[in-house]
Amino acid sequence: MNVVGLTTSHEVYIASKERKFRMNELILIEDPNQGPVIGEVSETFSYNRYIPFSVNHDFFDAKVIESLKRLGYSIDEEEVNVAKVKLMTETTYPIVTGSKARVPQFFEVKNLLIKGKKEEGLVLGEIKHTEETALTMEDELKGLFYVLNKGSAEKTKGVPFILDLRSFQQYPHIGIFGGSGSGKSFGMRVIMEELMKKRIPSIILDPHYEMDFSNSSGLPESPDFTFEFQKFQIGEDIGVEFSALSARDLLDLLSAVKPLTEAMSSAVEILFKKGDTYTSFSSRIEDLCEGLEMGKTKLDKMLSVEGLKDSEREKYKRLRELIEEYSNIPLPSVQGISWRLKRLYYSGIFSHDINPVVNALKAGKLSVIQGPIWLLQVFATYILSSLYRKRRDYKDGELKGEIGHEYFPPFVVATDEAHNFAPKGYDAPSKGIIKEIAQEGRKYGVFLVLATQRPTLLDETVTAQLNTKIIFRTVRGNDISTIMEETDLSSEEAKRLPYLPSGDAFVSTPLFGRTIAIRIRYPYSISPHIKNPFDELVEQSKKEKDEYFNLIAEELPIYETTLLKAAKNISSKNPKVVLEVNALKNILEELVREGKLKKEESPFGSFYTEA
Amino acid sequence: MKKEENFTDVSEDLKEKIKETAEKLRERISKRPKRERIRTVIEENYIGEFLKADKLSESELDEIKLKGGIAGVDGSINSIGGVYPYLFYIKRALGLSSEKRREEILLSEVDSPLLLDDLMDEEEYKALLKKGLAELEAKAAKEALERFNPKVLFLDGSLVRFKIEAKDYFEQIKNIALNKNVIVAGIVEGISTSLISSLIRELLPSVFKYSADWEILLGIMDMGEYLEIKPGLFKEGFRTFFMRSSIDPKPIGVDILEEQKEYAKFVANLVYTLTPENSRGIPLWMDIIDKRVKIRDPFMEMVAKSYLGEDFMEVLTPKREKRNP
Repeated sequence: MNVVGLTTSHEVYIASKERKFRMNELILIEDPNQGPVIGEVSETFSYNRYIPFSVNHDFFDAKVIESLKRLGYSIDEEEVNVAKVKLMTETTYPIVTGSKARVPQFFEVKNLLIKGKKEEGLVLGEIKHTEETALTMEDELKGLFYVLNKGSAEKTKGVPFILDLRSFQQYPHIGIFGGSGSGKSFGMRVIMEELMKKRIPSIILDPHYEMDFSNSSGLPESPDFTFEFQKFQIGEDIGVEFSALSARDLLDLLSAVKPLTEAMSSAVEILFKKGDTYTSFSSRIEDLCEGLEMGKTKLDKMLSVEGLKDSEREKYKRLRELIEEYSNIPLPSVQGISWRLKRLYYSGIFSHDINPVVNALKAGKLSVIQGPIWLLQVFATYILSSLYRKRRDYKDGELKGEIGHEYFPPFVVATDEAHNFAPKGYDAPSKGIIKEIAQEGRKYGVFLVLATQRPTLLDETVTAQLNTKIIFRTVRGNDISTIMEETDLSSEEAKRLPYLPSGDAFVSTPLFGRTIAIRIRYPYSISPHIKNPFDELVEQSKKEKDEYFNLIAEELPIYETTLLKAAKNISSKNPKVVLEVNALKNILEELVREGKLKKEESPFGSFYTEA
Repeated sequence: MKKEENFTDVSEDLKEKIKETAEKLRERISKRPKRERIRTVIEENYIGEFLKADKLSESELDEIKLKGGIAGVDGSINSIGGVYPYLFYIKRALGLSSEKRREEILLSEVDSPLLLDDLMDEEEYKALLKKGLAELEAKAAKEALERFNPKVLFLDGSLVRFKIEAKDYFEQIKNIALNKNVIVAGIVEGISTSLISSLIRELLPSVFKYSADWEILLGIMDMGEYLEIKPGLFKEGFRTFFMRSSIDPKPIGVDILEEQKEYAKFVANLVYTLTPENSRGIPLWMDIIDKRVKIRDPFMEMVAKSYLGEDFMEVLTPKREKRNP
């Protein structure tokens, strides 16, 4: 390998006849005057001077090239490999053309590749194309995990990519961007696994019900995460404590069911009293509803009726007072609030609290919060605010020297579909708290891991606070330009984004000061629903056909003239099956096509029989 | 502004003149006899025979490979410096075998007219240079024969050129080739002979009386067709054929040794096989060697600067090259 052509003090070209270059490889250039200089391959070319670019040119005749090969002269071997190499640090003078270049030894580039100890960081995967350099790496860093290579999991041969946990103090938040199928979910899973391995208290919002870590992906020596995480269903395991709600929280909750009208919102603000329990609030709503339905006149009339039971009199009086007090609230608004409140109630959300999550966090576990997306969003607002407040109160108390604040650990908040929780351009209940954590979470040790396939739709303030960005394959143009604005990805790297293989990603982090191409390690656990829906369809239809075949088998042979009888027999023997003649004929024909039955001719017409 | 006016003045005038000349030339084309007519005249007057070459099959190519493959030799001249005699010439000759494991033969010589005892004029020196290059190529060819043992050896240019310019080497080449049964073929890209017109002058329209062979043969052969010239008419000691080896209507020339005349068809087939259809008609093999032996100017300059020294280069470089572009 040699430096060729025009050089600058930040970029050179390196050519080699024998060795092919790979993107993002580190190359050491031995400049005779300036000593060793490290660079990274930013573009690769290979060219063959005998097979020029132009198709109309002299040489493009495959037959001739083939004939020459036959004679022993293979033009392919005349290939020259060229790499554009960006220097890590600018040199004082341009590199000397002709300088030798080589693959560096591990110790020569260690500080560029490894930041932090493997025990103290998240080991997310391998740095791409570092196999050669990794040969000279310390044994304790070798083969730490598995990577997927052409469909099968193999032990890594590269240099590990370690995201130092200590660095979170300085660069607290992580963004994960990438389209569907890009490996984004795997990336999220790997981060969660690493957090569990380090016993970092974490909470993940799981709208897709996929964050289960108890199924092993089949790798040898995989850790058991069964006791490192806990799943919580909103409304079943956890919920909100109604009495702890503020009017704002309640509004968010209600509007999550269906957006509230202006009138409804103000009605809630008027009707909700601090310290209300679910019962006190809901009965107030119900009573007001009833009162408004009856109307003042009717209520007065009822109250003037003789011989009314005391309890009834009480009730009418109460209703009368209520409509007096809230006379300006229209009935439809109250009704709207009423059904929203009921829907929330039936989801079970008010029957539980968040203590299980608090306990899990204190135990250093990962809490997986699951629920339908409409509920998850509001609930997230509630739970994140509560947890964040607990941590903030503890830390602030500590700072002020106050004792007696209950200890609450630092924690990581993660979510996929982050653009739903902190959307750009419009308001969402959870946006406020996520923005707050993004901006000042660092101070309190609350960190975000936000994944989205649409970085463009994510709130800009939040995006700007994501210091470390892991970028998987992205196809949309506007997402790519957002990514380019928000990271130090070069335009060459951005051009590669649509073509990144699944599981490959660029990591842009101030910790490394440059973009690193990595391959995410293969997770130890797998998502519970990884079965392809089309496999499922095929399986299902095969199952059905087998069932029909068994039913029909008993009636064989079936003559075309006795179809009706056969259909009746089958239906009568199997109460669940209702078969009429045409359907039976279709199934028979289908089975003939599949070769399970055959159709034969006889003097009595054609008949179906076993093949 | 004035400059532009001048420019248009000249171009108007120039346009007219070019038009006139072009028209005269076009007349020349229109007077060209028909394709069939030329072919008949050539055949009836026993100048040569139109034959058809075939592409070699894989097994035929394998056979060549088993017998040593093919080899080729080409040369190049580069100059560094300024105006004669203030310059250097670098002559190079490259011999290459299709057998990859055989090392290539690369011979070089560096000359400068300044080193002569008596200064000769430029034309004379150029002729000497040409002869020197032919000798160097012939030397490389001889080495190629000895070291590569190929089945076929291609040389760049007519074999006559070697016979004239590098007589001693050529005799040696011939002997070795005949002894080892290596077929030697010269590939001529730019045909400069006028054999056909000299033989049938009276049968041609007056404008074509002195036409070069390529002009007469232009477009009258199909792809893969070649005109084998009857023995005795041309280049004593050699067999020559003109061939349309690609879609380019201009033929190339191929020489082989008279002693190897029975291989004419085989050589034609091989040339046809190795020539890309869309090319100008030269076998790819010869183009590969040509590309390898040529030194690009920037590289040359670099080498010169590092070995001659910047100061000496300064002496050689003419003022005009320092002109701003």
